[in-house]
Amino acid sequence: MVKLSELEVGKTLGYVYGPVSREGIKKYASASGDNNGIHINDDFAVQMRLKGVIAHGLYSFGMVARALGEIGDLVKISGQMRGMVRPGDDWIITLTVKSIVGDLVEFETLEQSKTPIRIEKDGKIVKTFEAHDREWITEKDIAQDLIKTEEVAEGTLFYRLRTAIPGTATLRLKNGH
Amino acid sequence: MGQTEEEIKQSEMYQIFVGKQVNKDIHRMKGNRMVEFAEALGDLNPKYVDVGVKENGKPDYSKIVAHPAYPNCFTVNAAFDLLGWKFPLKEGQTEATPFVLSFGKVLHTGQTYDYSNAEAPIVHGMKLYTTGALEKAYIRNKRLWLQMHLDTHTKDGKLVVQTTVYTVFREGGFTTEY
Repeated sequence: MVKLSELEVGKTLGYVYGPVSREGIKKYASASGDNNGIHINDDFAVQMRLKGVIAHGLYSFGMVARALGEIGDLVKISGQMRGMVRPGDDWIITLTVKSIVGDLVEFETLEQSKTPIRIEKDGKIVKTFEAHDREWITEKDIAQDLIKTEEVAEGTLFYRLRTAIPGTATLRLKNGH
Repeated sequence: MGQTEEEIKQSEMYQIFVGKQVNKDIHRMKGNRMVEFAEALGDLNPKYVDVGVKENGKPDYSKIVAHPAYPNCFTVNAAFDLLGWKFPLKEGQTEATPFVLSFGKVLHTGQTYDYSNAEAPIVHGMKLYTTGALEKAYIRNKRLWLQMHLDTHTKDGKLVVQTTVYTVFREGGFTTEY
């Protein structure tokens, strides 16, 4: 839990959850009652021209609520599902304090998906991920400079960092939080 | 990007659905389902999952509340309700034109959960009622954009959450001619 006294306008808090798995998506489908095939059936999702299953938008949105719950009690949360999240992705959540009025704290929320693509070492591909194999990365992703790299044990990881759900939220922090 | 003239015309035919109520949905809150939902999100905060044991050995859900994202479960049926919506029969028509052609073409584009006016927390054993209506419908970028508002109340009328749902049907998923 974060104390109210520890927050100030502009302060940023970060949370990482994942990776997304097909098993996790199915568990969410069962828990929410949303068993649309685009989430749980790869063949159906391909028929729907989605190149495989996608996580429920509200599954990803729930992760923002989860992050906010680590700070205080949720009063209101709003988000726009802009980018699909798929198996293998991580959810990267950034919460920025916009205002504090009494015990109510308003945040700007940003959830991004981190999609691993491939690992290269000495200029050669040594490992590929589903995003590479199923061609989930688009020319638009490249044009928008969404492809990033980071060093990992096996070499250089190429991944896409894309906005999934921007939004806002209001929390109530009790005394003592 | 704005609407084309054709899209403005196509949007007009959907205005008969704006204000249309979705079927009232009843939810019987069960502690095990509340826990399942929180666990599916990986949120193991004790206030959502810490189930006690009664003297008779049965689970005691009295100390937990539903995860704040749980109202997703109240929206699913409302969204599926759209599947059954149809345009009024026109003269000479024997079969009504459906609102939705393919549910596989639907994408969830936004959601709001508003607890600011809530009068009670969502707990095990509650019988909840979700009512609501379509607020907006228009076609833009070859997609049908919908906004639906839902209120969820207890049996005695106490508001527990207000939800706004934004969905889009991709090309081929909705009727463009009527």
